[in-house]
Amino acid sequence: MNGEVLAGAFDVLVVGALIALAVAILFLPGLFRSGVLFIVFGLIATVAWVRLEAYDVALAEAVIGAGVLGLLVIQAVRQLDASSSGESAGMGDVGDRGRKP
Amino acid sequence: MNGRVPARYALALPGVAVVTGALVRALMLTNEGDPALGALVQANLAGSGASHAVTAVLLNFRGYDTWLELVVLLVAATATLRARGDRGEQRMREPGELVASGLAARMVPVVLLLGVLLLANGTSGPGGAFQAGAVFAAGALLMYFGGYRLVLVSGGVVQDLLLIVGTFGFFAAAVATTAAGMRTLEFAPRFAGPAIVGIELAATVSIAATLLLIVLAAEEESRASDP
Amino acid sequence: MTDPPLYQIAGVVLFGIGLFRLATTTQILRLLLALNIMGTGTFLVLIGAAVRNRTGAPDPIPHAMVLTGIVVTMGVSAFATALLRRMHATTGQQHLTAPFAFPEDESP
Repeated sequence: MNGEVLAGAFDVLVVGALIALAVAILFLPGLFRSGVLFIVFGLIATVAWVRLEAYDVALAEAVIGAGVLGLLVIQAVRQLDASSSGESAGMGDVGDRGRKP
Repeated sequence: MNGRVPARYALALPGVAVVTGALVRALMLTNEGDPALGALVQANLAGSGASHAVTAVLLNFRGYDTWLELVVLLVAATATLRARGDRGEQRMREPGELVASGLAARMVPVVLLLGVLLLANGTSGPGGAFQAGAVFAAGALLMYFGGYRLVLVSGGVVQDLLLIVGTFGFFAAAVATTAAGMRTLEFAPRFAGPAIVGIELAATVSIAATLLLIVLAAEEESRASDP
Repeated sequence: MTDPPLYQIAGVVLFGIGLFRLATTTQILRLLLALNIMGTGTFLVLIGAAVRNRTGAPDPIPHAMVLTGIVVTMGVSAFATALLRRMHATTGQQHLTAPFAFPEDESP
Protein backbone atom coordinates (compact mmCIF):
# COMPACT_ATOMS: atom_id res chain seq x y z
CA MET A 1 0.00 0.00 0.00
CA ASN A 2 1.20 3.49 -0.70
CA GLY A 3 3.10 4.97 2.24
CA GLU A 4 1.69 8.41 1.63
CA VAL A 5 -1.88 7.23 1.87
CA LEU A 6 -1.11 5.29 5.02
CA ALA A 7 0.50 8.33 6.62
CA GLY A 8 -2.42 10.50 5.65
CA ALA A 9 -4.89 8.04 7.10
CA PHE A 10 -2.91 7.96 10.32
CA ASP A 11 -3.01 11.74 10.51
CA VAL A 12 -6.76 11.70 10.11
CA LEU A 13 -6.97 9.17 12.93
CA VAL A 14 -4.84 11.32 15.21
CA VAL A 15 -6.81 14.47 14.49
CA GLY A 16 -10.10 12.64 14.91
CA ALA A 17 -8.95 11.23 18.23
CA LEU A 18 -7.93 14.67 19.45
CA ILE A 19 -11.28 16.20 18.61
CA ALA A 20 -13.25 13.29 20.00
CA LEU A 21 -11.24 13.38 23.21
CA ALA A 22 -11.74 17.13 23.55
CA VAL A 23 -15.50 16.71 23.28
CA ALA A 24 -15.43 13.83 25.74
CA ILE A 25 -13.29 15.74 28.22
CA LEU A 26 -15.45 18.81 28.20
CA PHE A 27 -18.93 17.44 27.80
CA LEU A 28 -19.12 14.07 29.46
CA PRO A 29 -20.14 14.06 33.10
CA GLY A 30 -17.65 12.92 35.68
CA LEU A 31 -14.60 14.96 36.55
CA PHE A 32 -12.38 11.97 37.17
CA ARG A 33 -13.19 10.66 33.71
CA SER A 34 -12.30 14.06 32.29
CA GLY A 35 -9.01 14.00 34.12
CA VAL A 36 -8.01 10.58 32.84
CA LEU A 37 -9.09 11.45 29.31
CA PHE A 38 -7.05 14.62 29.59
CA ILE A 39 -3.93 12.54 30.14
CA VAL A 40 -4.82 10.46 27.08
CA PHE A 41 -5.33 13.70 25.18
CA GLY A 42 -1.84 14.79 26.11
CA LEU A 43 -0.38 11.52 24.87
CA ILE A 44 -2.20 11.73 21.53
CA ALA A 45 -1.00 15.32 21.23
CA THR A 46 2.53 13.96 21.69
CA VAL A 47 1.96 11.71 18.70
CA ALA A 48 0.70 14.71 16.74
CA TRP A 49 3.86 16.64 17.53
CA VAL A 50 5.99 13.74 16.36
CA ARG A 51 4.02 13.63 13.11
CA LEU A 52 4.71 17.34 12.68
CA GLU A 53 8.45 16.80 13.27
CA ALA A 54 8.45 18.85 16.47
CA TYR A 55 10.45 16.44 18.60
CA ASP A 56 11.36 18.81 21.40
CA VAL A 57 7.73 19.80 21.75
CA ALA A 58 6.75 16.13 21.76
CA LEU A 59 9.11 15.41 24.64
CA ALA A 60 7.83 18.38 26.60
CA GLU A 61 4.20 17.53 25.94
CA ALA A 62 4.72 13.97 27.10
CA VAL A 63 6.29 14.87 30.43
CA ILE A 64 4.65 18.20 31.17
CA GLY A 65 1.43 18.24 29.19
CA ALA A 66 0.36 14.70 29.87
CA GLY A 67 2.34 13.98 33.01
CA VAL A 68 2.42 16.96 35.30
CA LEU A 69 -0.81 18.58 34.11
CA GLY A 70 -2.68 15.29 34.26
CA LEU A 71 -1.36 14.71 37.74
CA LEU A 72 -2.52 18.17 38.83
CA VAL A 73 -6.01 17.57 37.49
CA ILE A 74 -6.29 14.16 39.15
CA GLN A 75 -5.08 15.63 42.43
CA ALA A 76 -7.66 18.37 42.23
CA VAL A 77 -10.42 15.87 41.43
CA ARG A 78 -9.37 13.73 44.36
CA GLN A 79 -9.52 16.62 46.75
CA LEU A 80 -12.81 17.88 45.40
CA ASP A 81 -14.22 14.44 45.83
CA ALA A 82 -12.86 13.87 49.31
CA SER A 83 -14.22 17.01 50.88
CA SER A 84 -17.53 17.31 49.12
CA SER A 85 -20.72 16.22 50.80
CA GLY A 86 -21.23 12.53 50.25
CA GLU A 87 -23.57 12.48 47.32
CA SER A 88 -20.96 10.96 45.04
CA ALA A 89 -20.54 7.22 45.01
CA GLY A 90 -16.85 7.43 44.23
CA MET A 91 -14.57 8.89 41.66
CA GLY A 92 -16.88 8.34 38.77
CA ASP A 93 -19.50 10.73 39.98
CA VAL A 94 -17.43 13.59 41.24
CA GLY A 95 -18.91 16.99 41.47
CA ASP A 96 -20.98 17.07 38.32
CA ARG A 97 -24.45 16.72 39.61
CA GLY A 98 -25.97 20.10 39.33
CA ARG A 99 -26.98 22.14 42.29
CA LYS A 100 -30.61 21.49 42.11
CA PRO A 101 -32.72 23.79 44.19
CA MET B 1 -29.25 15.63 32.49
CA ASN B 2 -32.61 17.17 31.85
CA GLY B 3 -34.14 16.88 28.43
CA ARG B 4 -34.12 20.54 27.52
CA VAL B 5 -30.89 22.11 26.37
CA PRO B 6 -30.24 25.17 28.49
CA ALA B 7 -30.52 28.53 26.81
CA ARG B 8 -26.89 29.43 27.11
CA TYR B 9 -25.90 26.60 24.77
CA ALA B 10 -28.07 28.03 22.02
CA LEU B 11 -26.74 31.48 22.72
CA ALA B 12 -23.08 30.52 22.70
CA LEU B 13 -23.12 28.25 19.67
CA PRO B 14 -23.54 30.86 16.91
CA GLY B 15 -20.89 33.13 18.43
CA VAL B 16 -18.35 30.35 18.77
CA ALA B 17 -19.17 29.03 15.30
CA VAL B 18 -18.56 32.49 13.82
CA VAL B 19 -15.25 32.86 15.65
CA THR B 20 -14.10 29.41 14.59
CA GLY B 21 -15.11 30.00 10.99
CA ALA B 22 -13.28 33.32 10.95
CA LEU B 23 -10.16 31.66 12.34
CA VAL B 24 -10.25 28.93 9.71
CA ARG B 25 -10.64 31.56 7.02
CA ALA B 26 -7.72 33.52 8.44
CA LEU B 27 -5.71 30.32 8.41
CA MET B 28 -6.41 29.75 4.76
CA LEU B 29 -5.52 33.33 3.94
CA THR B 30 -2.12 33.24 5.63
CA ASN B 31 -0.95 30.58 3.28
CA GLU B 32 2.75 31.03 3.34
CA GLY B 33 4.91 30.69 6.39
CA ASP B 34 7.88 32.96 6.83
CA PRO B 35 10.86 31.02 5.52
CA ALA B 36 13.14 34.01 5.94
CA LEU B 37 13.25 33.72 9.71
CA GLY B 38 13.97 30.01 9.67
CA ALA B 39 16.71 30.54 7.14
CA LEU B 40 18.17 33.28 9.34
CA VAL B 41 18.39 30.83 12.24
CA GLN B 42 20.10 28.22 10.07
CA ALA B 43 22.58 30.78 8.81
CA ASN B 44 23.64 31.84 12.30
CA LEU B 45 23.55 28.38 13.84
CA ALA B 46 27.27 27.79 13.57
CA GLY B 47 28.36 30.41 16.07
CA SER B 48 25.44 30.05 18.42
CA GLY B 49 26.87 27.45 20.78
CA ALA B 50 24.39 24.71 19.95
CA SER B 51 23.97 22.63 16.84
CA HIS B 52 20.28 22.03 17.41
CA ALA B 53 18.22 24.86 16.05
CA VAL B 54 15.52 24.84 18.73
CA THR B 55 18.09 24.96 21.53
CA ALA B 56 19.93 27.80 19.82
CA VAL B 57 16.68 29.75 19.52
CA LEU B 58 15.65 29.06 23.10
CA LEU B 59 18.91 29.80 24.83
CA ASN B 60 20.72 32.18 22.56
CA PHE B 61 18.66 33.99 19.95
CA ARG B 62 15.54 34.28 22.11
CA GLY B 63 17.23 33.80 25.44
CA TYR B 64 15.42 36.70 27.01
CA ASP B 65 12.08 34.98 26.46
CA THR B 66 13.35 31.82 28.13
CA TRP B 67 14.63 33.87 31.02
CA LEU B 68 11.22 35.38 31.52
CA GLU B 69 9.68 31.94 31.23
CA LEU B 70 11.83 30.82 34.14
CA VAL B 71 10.62 33.86 36.05
CA VAL B 72 7.03 32.84 35.31
CA LEU B 73 7.80 29.38 36.68
CA LEU B 74 9.30 30.94 39.78
CA VAL B 75 6.22 33.08 40.31
CA ALA B 76 3.96 30.06 39.76
CA ALA B 77 5.91 28.01 42.28
CA THR B 78 5.86 30.78 44.85
CA ALA B 79 2.18 31.50 44.36
CA THR B 80 1.24 27.82 44.48
CA LEU B 81 3.23 27.26 47.62
CA ARG B 82 1.58 30.27 49.23
CA ALA B 83 -1.87 29.14 48.20
CA ARG B 84 -1.28 25.80 49.82
CA GLY B 85 -3.11 24.89 52.94
CA ASP B 86 -1.60 25.35 56.34
CA ARG B 87 1.21 22.94 56.74
CA GLY B 88 4.79 23.35 57.66
CA GLU B 89 7.31 20.91 56.31
CA GLN B 90 7.06 17.76 54.28
CA ARG B 91 5.26 14.93 55.92
CA MET B 92 6.77 11.58 55.16
CA ARG B 93 4.78 8.76 53.74
CA GLU B 94 4.77 5.46 55.54
CA PRO B 95 7.79 3.63 54.16
CA GLY B 96 6.01 0.32 54.21
CA GLU B 97 4.68 -0.21 50.73
CA LEU B 98 6.76 -2.90 49.16
CA VAL B 99 5.76 -2.50 45.55
CA ALA B 100 6.11 1.25 45.52
CA SER B 101 9.46 1.35 47.26
CA GLY B 102 10.82 -1.52 45.19
CA LEU B 103 9.68 0.15 41.99
CA ALA B 104 11.25 3.39 43.08
CA ALA B 105 14.53 1.75 43.98
CA ARG B 106 14.78 0.08 40.61
CA MET B 107 13.41 2.73 38.34
CA VAL B 108 14.86 5.92 39.75
CA PRO B 109 18.43 5.28 38.56
CA VAL B 110 17.12 4.65 35.06
CA VAL B 111 14.99 7.76 35.20
CA LEU B 112 17.93 9.85 36.37
CA LEU B 113 20.04 8.47 33.55
CA LEU B 114 17.31 9.34 31.08
CA GLY B 115 17.23 12.89 32.41
CA VAL B 116 20.97 13.28 32.04
CA LEU B 117 20.81 11.91 28.50
CA LEU B 118 18.04 14.31 27.56
CA LEU B 119 19.97 17.24 28.97
CA ALA B 120 23.22 16.25 27.30
CA ASN B 121 21.53 15.66 23.99
CA GLY B 122 19.85 19.04 24.10
CA THR B 123 22.60 20.95 22.39
CA SER B 124 22.76 18.71 19.36
CA GLY B 125 19.31 17.21 19.14
CA PRO B 126 15.90 17.13 20.76
CA GLY B 127 16.04 17.50 24.50
CA GLY B 128 17.17 20.28 26.72
CA ALA B 129 16.48 21.84 30.07
CA PHE B 130 12.69 21.62 30.23
CA GLN B 131 12.37 18.02 29.24
CA ALA B 132 15.26 16.91 31.44
CA GLY B 133 13.98 18.93 34.38
CA ALA B 134 10.56 17.33 34.10
CA VAL B 135 12.12 13.86 33.95
CA PHE B 136 14.15 14.57 37.09
CA ALA B 137 11.01 15.77 38.82
CA ALA B 138 9.30 12.53 37.80
CA GLY B 139 12.16 10.52 39.29
CA ALA B 140 11.91 12.43 42.54
CA LEU B 141 8.16 11.81 42.62
CA LEU B 142 8.81 8.11 42.17
CA MET B 143 10.99 8.27 45.24
CA TYR B 144 8.36 10.18 47.15
CA PHE B 145 5.62 7.69 46.38
CA GLY B 146 7.99 4.89 47.27
CA GLY B 147 8.29 6.25 50.76
CA TYR B 148 11.70 7.82 50.56
CA ARG B 149 12.25 11.23 52.03
CA LEU B 150 13.15 14.10 49.73
CA VAL B 151 15.56 16.12 51.77
CA LEU B 152 16.30 18.83 49.26
CA VAL B 153 12.77 20.07 48.94
CA SER B 154 11.85 20.00 52.60
CA GLY B 155 11.59 23.72 52.83
CA GLY B 156 14.07 26.29 53.96
CA VAL B 157 16.96 27.94 52.24
CA VAL B 158 18.00 24.98 50.10
CA GLN B 159 14.58 24.76 48.53
CA ASP B 160 14.54 28.47 47.77
CA LEU B 161 18.00 28.30 46.27
CA LEU B 162 16.99 25.43 44.01
CA LEU B 163 14.02 27.40 42.78
CA ILE B 164 16.05 30.51 42.08
CA VAL B 165 19.20 29.13 40.46
CA GLY B 166 17.72 28.92 36.97
CA THR B 167 16.68 32.53 36.88
CA PHE B 168 19.98 33.47 38.40
CA GLY B 169 21.89 31.62 35.68
CA PHE B 170 20.41 33.89 33.06
CA PHE B 171 20.98 36.88 35.28
CA ALA B 172 24.66 36.01 35.64
CA ALA B 173 24.96 35.60 31.88
CA ALA B 174 23.30 38.95 31.33
CA VAL B 175 25.62 40.69 33.78
CA ALA B 176 28.66 39.02 32.27
CA THR B 177 27.80 39.96 28.71
CA THR B 178 26.93 43.52 29.59
CA ALA B 179 30.08 43.94 31.67
CA ALA B 180 32.14 42.61 28.78
CA GLY B 181 30.87 45.42 26.63
CA MET B 182 28.52 43.48 24.35
CA ARG B 183 24.80 43.77 24.20
CA THR B 184 23.06 42.01 27.04
CA LEU B 185 22.76 38.25 26.51
CA GLU B 186 24.67 38.43 23.27
CA PHE B 187 27.11 35.58 23.46
CA ALA B 188 30.41 35.69 21.66
CA PRO B 189 30.78 32.46 19.65
CA ARG B 190 33.72 31.43 21.80
CA PHE B 191 31.69 31.47 25.00
CA ALA B 192 28.30 30.58 23.61
CA GLY B 193 28.72 26.83 24.02
CA PRO B 194 29.74 26.82 27.68
CA ALA B 195 27.26 29.59 28.48
CA ILE B 196 24.38 27.58 27.06
CA VAL B 197 25.45 24.46 28.91
CA GLY B 198 25.75 26.34 32.19
CA ILE B 199 22.39 28.05 31.82
CA GLU B 200 20.76 24.77 30.86
CA LEU B 201 22.14 23.08 33.95
CA ALA B 202 20.84 25.82 36.23
CA ALA B 203 17.50 25.89 34.45
CA THR B 204 17.11 22.12 34.72
CA VAL B 205 17.60 22.24 38.47
CA SER B 206 15.05 24.99 38.88
CA ILE B 207 12.51 23.37 36.61
CA ALA B 208 12.82 20.06 38.41
CA ALA B 209 12.42 21.73 41.80
CA THR B 210 9.45 23.79 40.62
CA LEU B 211 7.54 20.88 39.13
CA LEU B 212 8.32 18.71 42.11
CA LEU B 213 7.14 21.28 44.64
CA ILE B 214 3.97 22.02 42.73
CA VAL B 215 2.96 18.37 42.70
CA LEU B 216 4.07 17.76 46.28
CA ALA B 217 2.05 20.69 47.53
CA ALA B 218 -1.10 19.15 46.14
CA GLU B 219 -0.18 15.75 47.53
CA GLU B 220 0.40 17.10 51.00
CA GLU B 221 -2.87 18.93 50.93
CA SER B 222 -4.73 15.83 49.79
CA ARG B 223 -3.27 13.82 52.59
CA ALA B 224 -4.15 16.47 55.08
CA SER B 225 -7.80 15.95 54.22
CA ASP B 226 -7.66 12.17 54.05
CA PRO B 227 -9.05 10.30 57.04
CA MET C 1 4.99 14.01 4.68
CA THR C 2 2.23 15.26 6.89
CA ASP C 3 -0.42 17.64 5.80
CA PRO C 4 -0.02 20.69 8.02
CA PRO C 5 -3.34 22.35 7.20
CA LEU C 6 -5.12 19.27 8.54
CA TYR C 7 -3.51 19.73 11.92
CA GLN C 8 -3.98 23.47 11.83
CA ILE C 9 -7.68 23.22 11.15
CA ALA C 10 -7.91 20.62 13.89
CA GLY C 11 -6.23 23.15 16.15
CA VAL C 12 -8.84 25.77 15.34
CA VAL C 13 -11.62 23.24 15.92
CA LEU C 14 -10.15 22.39 19.32
CA PHE C 15 -10.00 26.08 20.06
CA GLY C 16 -13.65 26.46 19.15
CA ILE C 17 -14.72 23.47 21.24
CA GLY C 18 -12.86 24.80 24.24
CA LEU C 19 -14.26 28.28 23.70
CA PHE C 20 -17.79 26.91 23.59
CA ARG C 21 -17.26 25.07 26.84
CA LEU C 22 -15.71 28.16 28.32
CA ALA C 23 -18.90 30.05 27.66
CA THR C 24 -21.31 27.39 28.88
CA THR C 25 -19.98 26.06 32.16
CA THR C 26 -19.32 27.46 35.57
CA GLN C 27 -17.41 24.50 36.93
CA ILE C 28 -13.92 25.75 37.53
CA LEU C 29 -12.07 22.53 36.81
CA ARG C 30 -13.83 22.22 33.48
CA LEU C 31 -12.97 25.82 32.71
CA LEU C 32 -9.33 24.98 33.30
CA LEU C 33 -9.52 21.93 31.05
CA ALA C 34 -11.23 24.02 28.37
CA LEU C 35 -8.47 26.61 28.54
CA ASN C 36 -5.83 23.91 28.26
CA ILE C 37 -7.51 22.40 25.22
CA MET C 38 -7.73 25.83 23.62
CA GLY C 39 -4.02 26.19 24.27
CA THR C 40 -3.24 22.86 22.66
CA GLY C 41 -5.29 23.92 19.64
CA THR C 42 -3.25 27.08 19.36
CA PHE C 43 -0.05 25.07 19.57
CA LEU C 44 -1.27 22.85 16.75
CA VAL C 45 -1.73 25.92 14.55
CA LEU C 46 1.75 27.18 15.41
CA ILE C 47 3.56 23.89 14.86
CA GLY C 48 1.65 23.36 11.64
CA ALA C 49 2.90 26.73 10.47
CA ALA C 50 6.45 25.57 11.19
CA VAL C 51 6.32 22.86 8.56
CA ARG C 52 4.24 24.67 5.99
CA ASN C 53 5.92 25.86 2.80
CA ARG C 54 9.32 25.12 4.10
CA THR C 55 12.62 24.04 2.64
CA GLY C 56 14.57 21.50 4.66
CA ALA C 57 14.20 21.42 8.43
CA PRO C 58 11.10 22.79 10.12
CA ASP C 59 11.15 26.36 11.33
CA PRO C 60 12.49 26.22 14.90
CA ILE C 61 10.97 29.45 16.15
CA PRO C 62 7.38 28.19 16.54
CA HIS C 63 8.86 25.16 18.29
CA ALA C 64 10.51 27.42 20.84
CA MET C 65 7.32 29.43 21.29
CA VAL C 66 5.21 26.33 21.85
CA LEU C 67 7.76 24.91 24.27
CA THR C 68 7.53 28.10 26.29
CA GLY C 69 3.75 27.99 25.96
CA ILE C 70 3.50 24.47 27.35
CA VAL C 71 5.61 25.34 30.36
CA VAL C 72 3.76 28.57 31.10
CA THR C 73 0.39 26.82 30.70
CA MET C 74 1.52 24.27 33.24
CA GLY C 75 2.57 26.96 35.67
CA VAL C 76 -0.74 28.77 35.36
CA SER C 77 -2.70 25.54 35.69
CA ALA C 78 -0.75 24.62 38.79
CA PHE C 79 -1.65 27.91 40.44
CA ALA C 80 -5.25 27.60 39.28
CA THR C 81 -5.65 24.14 40.79
CA ALA C 82 -4.04 25.31 44.00
CA LEU C 83 -6.54 28.17 44.19
CA LEU C 84 -9.40 25.82 43.37
CA ARG C 85 -8.37 23.47 46.15
CA ARG C 86 -8.15 26.31 48.64
CA MET C 87 -11.48 27.64 47.51
CA HIS C 88 -13.11 24.27 47.90
CA ALA C 89 -11.50 23.64 51.25
CA THR C 90 -12.57 27.01 52.58
CA THR C 91 -16.01 27.54 51.10
CA GLY C 92 -17.03 24.21 49.66
CA GLN C 93 -17.61 25.84 46.28
CA GLN C 94 -16.25 24.55 43.04
CA HIS C 95 -18.32 26.66 40.72
CA LEU C 96 -18.17 30.23 39.70
CA THR C 97 -20.53 32.29 41.77
CA ALA C 98 -22.51 35.39 40.92
CA PRO C 99 -22.08 37.53 38.86
CA PHE C 100 -20.62 34.79 36.66
CA ALA C 101 -23.10 32.10 37.56
CA PHE C 102 -25.87 31.30 35.17
CA PRO C 103 -29.37 32.13 36.34
CA GLU C 104 -30.83 28.77 35.42
CA ASP C 105 -29.78 25.62 37.19
CA GLU C 106 -26.49 23.89 36.49
CA SER C 107 -25.88 21.23 33.90
CA PRO C 108 -22.58 19.56 33.11
